[in-house]
Amino acid sequence: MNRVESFARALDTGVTAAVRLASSIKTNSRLDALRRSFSDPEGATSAASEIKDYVLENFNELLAQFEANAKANGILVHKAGTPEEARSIIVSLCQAAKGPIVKGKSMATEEIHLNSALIEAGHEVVETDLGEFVVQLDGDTPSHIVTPIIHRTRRDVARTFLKAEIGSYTEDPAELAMQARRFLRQKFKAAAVGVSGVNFAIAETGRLVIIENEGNNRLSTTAPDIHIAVMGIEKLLPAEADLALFLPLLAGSATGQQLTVYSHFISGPRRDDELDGPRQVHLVLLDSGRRKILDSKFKEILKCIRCGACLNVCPVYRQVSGHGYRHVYPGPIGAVLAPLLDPSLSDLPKASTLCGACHEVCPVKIPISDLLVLHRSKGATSESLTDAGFTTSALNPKLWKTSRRFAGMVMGSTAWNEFHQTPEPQPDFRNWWKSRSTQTFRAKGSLGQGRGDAEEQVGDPALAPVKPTLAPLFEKTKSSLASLGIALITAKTVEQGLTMLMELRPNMSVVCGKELLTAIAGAGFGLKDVWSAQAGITYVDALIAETGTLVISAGTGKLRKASLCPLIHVAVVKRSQIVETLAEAITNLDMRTTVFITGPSRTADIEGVLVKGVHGPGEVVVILVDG
Amino acid sequence: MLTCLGDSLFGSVGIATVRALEAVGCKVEFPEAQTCCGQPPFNSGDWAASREIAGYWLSVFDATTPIVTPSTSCAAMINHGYRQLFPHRAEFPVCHELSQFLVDVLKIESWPGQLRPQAVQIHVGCHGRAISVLDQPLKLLSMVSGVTVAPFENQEQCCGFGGSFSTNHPFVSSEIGKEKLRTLGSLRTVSTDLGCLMHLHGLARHSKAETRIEHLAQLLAESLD
Repeated sequence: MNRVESFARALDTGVTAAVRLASSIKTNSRLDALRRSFSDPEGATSAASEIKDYVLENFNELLAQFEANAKANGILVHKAGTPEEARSIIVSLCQAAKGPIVKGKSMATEEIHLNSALIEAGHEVVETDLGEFVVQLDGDTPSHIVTPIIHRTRRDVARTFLKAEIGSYTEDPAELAMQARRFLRQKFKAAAVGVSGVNFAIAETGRLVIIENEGNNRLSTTAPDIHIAVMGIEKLLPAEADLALFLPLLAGSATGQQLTVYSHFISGPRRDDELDGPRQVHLVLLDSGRRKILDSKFKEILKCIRCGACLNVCPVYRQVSGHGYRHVYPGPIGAVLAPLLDPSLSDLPKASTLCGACHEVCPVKIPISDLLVLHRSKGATSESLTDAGFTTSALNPKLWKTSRRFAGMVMGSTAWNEFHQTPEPQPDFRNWWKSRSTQTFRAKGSLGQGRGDAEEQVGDPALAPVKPTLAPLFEKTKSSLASLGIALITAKTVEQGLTMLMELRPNMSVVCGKELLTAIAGAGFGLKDVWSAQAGITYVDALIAETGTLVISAGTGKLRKASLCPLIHVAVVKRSQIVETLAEAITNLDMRTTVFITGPSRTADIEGVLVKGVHGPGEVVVILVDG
Repeated sequence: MLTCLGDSLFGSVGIATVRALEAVGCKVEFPEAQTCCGQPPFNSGDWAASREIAGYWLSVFDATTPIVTPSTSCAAMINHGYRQLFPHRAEFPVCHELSQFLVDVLKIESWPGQLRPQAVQIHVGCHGRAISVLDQPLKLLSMVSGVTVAPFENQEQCCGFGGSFSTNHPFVSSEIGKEKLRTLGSLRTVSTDLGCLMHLHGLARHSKAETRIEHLAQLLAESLD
């Protein structure tokens, strides 16, 4: 029996029900999000597909350009041909670490089984993404590339936390998330090394771009002195301008958001004039079979941006769950990729109905069904639905007629397998056709006559794309902020804004960088350190009207953790800093490490329930001032 | 093109297809030498056998006359699969799925038949995705006087058939099919593919359940009575 089949037969029906429900919700929210981000979602995916094709065609040049620029940024680049090499590089980088190693969610580190290597070397390794944290406590493996515990219920998580003494038993996802926040916060404070993956590596600037919702990735890459990023070499994009397309495409496809809460643009280690950030940034470039795939007919699989949309829509994935695929990359993308990375998984391409829904939702248009069939053509054919007899009769029309009719009758009277019966055969077409064939004529070319004018019809004006009328910038900003749940205070000056905030929250303790110290003192707030202050107050570099995104770069006297560690983030924005679009913000990006913040820190890891403030601020306030 | 399943199990769908085409003024031919398009061995990985059968198909059908079939999956094999099978061949005949032919090629805007008022659901065969047969079946169904098209839960999901998949993963296939039957409920449903029909009828027959699923062509033919 095929292994996916036997796994499915033994699977708890509750898991299938949970996966089906969560997947169907995500599938439905995906298209809504893409429609909000793009006037033509189909055009956006085609454009993204072309950019990824360009990357594959110019792979060596772009990788060399990226490496050179990353090094110039001060990033220490290491190359790993195999998972073993990657593990030993990272273990040796962590050798002197005195304190826990905190990890952000990363499929590349799952792929190389990094945790066990670090634990063997004597380190404490802590997964900090809520879902991955639960997986680690359970000794389980993630079953989805975006939603690791899609197969778990809130009761499972509650029992796990109770057993591991993370907190008392509760079935409230928000309280469970807060228990994790409190526990993991201590780990972040003590951490010596932070490990992350990478979503996009920009050849033009040598920057690493990482996206997430919880803030744990940002904490892992900001709080410890050493940051180690691990990335598959296919994560390249030519230029930062491409992100105006890829960030909303990935967020929409993965979680149904316009942008994820955080998009980090990591430029390298902290500079001397900055107050925090890692002192060393290492990058491990992982090949692990990718170059071989690049030279094969399967190379398009390297376009994948790991959004998980193909999993969510796949009927087989919904039935068997991610664990049915026995690999870190499950679902349709895994059924193509996993056998290329591990030949013992050659049964996976058969575990598909070839319905093509994966190709339809893929944001970079990977022809997944075609690649699955290509895999099958290279494997054993013993499970073919047809045999030599079928081929012989298909090449001989006389034999065909009798064999098909016979097959129909035999099939119709027997069970097709233990779950299916074949339907009753209906009247025979060929006999019917023969009985009336005297009435039909061959009339080549007559078809469609009298309908020629139809082709001259012009397109229906009702179908032309509707261009939304642009609301004034301020109105647009207000509505974007409101939809993210961000409170807005408008004031004439920074001082006035802070005084208004003081009136609303008189006893709030705050933290800020040097640039705001005088203003804060003037408003009368009490100052605390970044780990204990209730609110962090920062300036921004820009605010994106269409998405409500705050753009904040590192800089002289600035404190990155002020917008990250406290439960409240207060951002002071000047009206002149509002830009209309994501593309505009990306064009004007500062070259220091920068973060895009789109709403409060959030997670939906537990049964898809939205919880705010899981690692970063649960509340964001914008003070908009003149100037 | 009648297709394997039309030849072995679903003769009525072939008859209904001819009636539907004639109702909008087509003169239908049936090349009697036709057999299979080669998709079953193609999808199960036996491309050598598939190439032989596909080569035969190409010799039987005359590309100067439009080719129409009541199957999204066979049309997808000709229009999409053949390009994988014969990467060096420059030209391929076009094979139209029935609703695509009526809506996109003939550009019909009304349907000559009618039914008593009723709600009908439509399950578009998944292989339509490979050949852009997406909303044509729905447009065609909406043209039938008396029919109101009813949406249903997880409409885009596959029925779980998948050809050889139903043989090498019968449990998974049947569970997906049962979920499809659940979401379809007892409302009348039409599909564009004989594979879906065989699978869903087969599942229902196994559990002795009633089904009201048939081919779109059968509904069209009924509306002409």
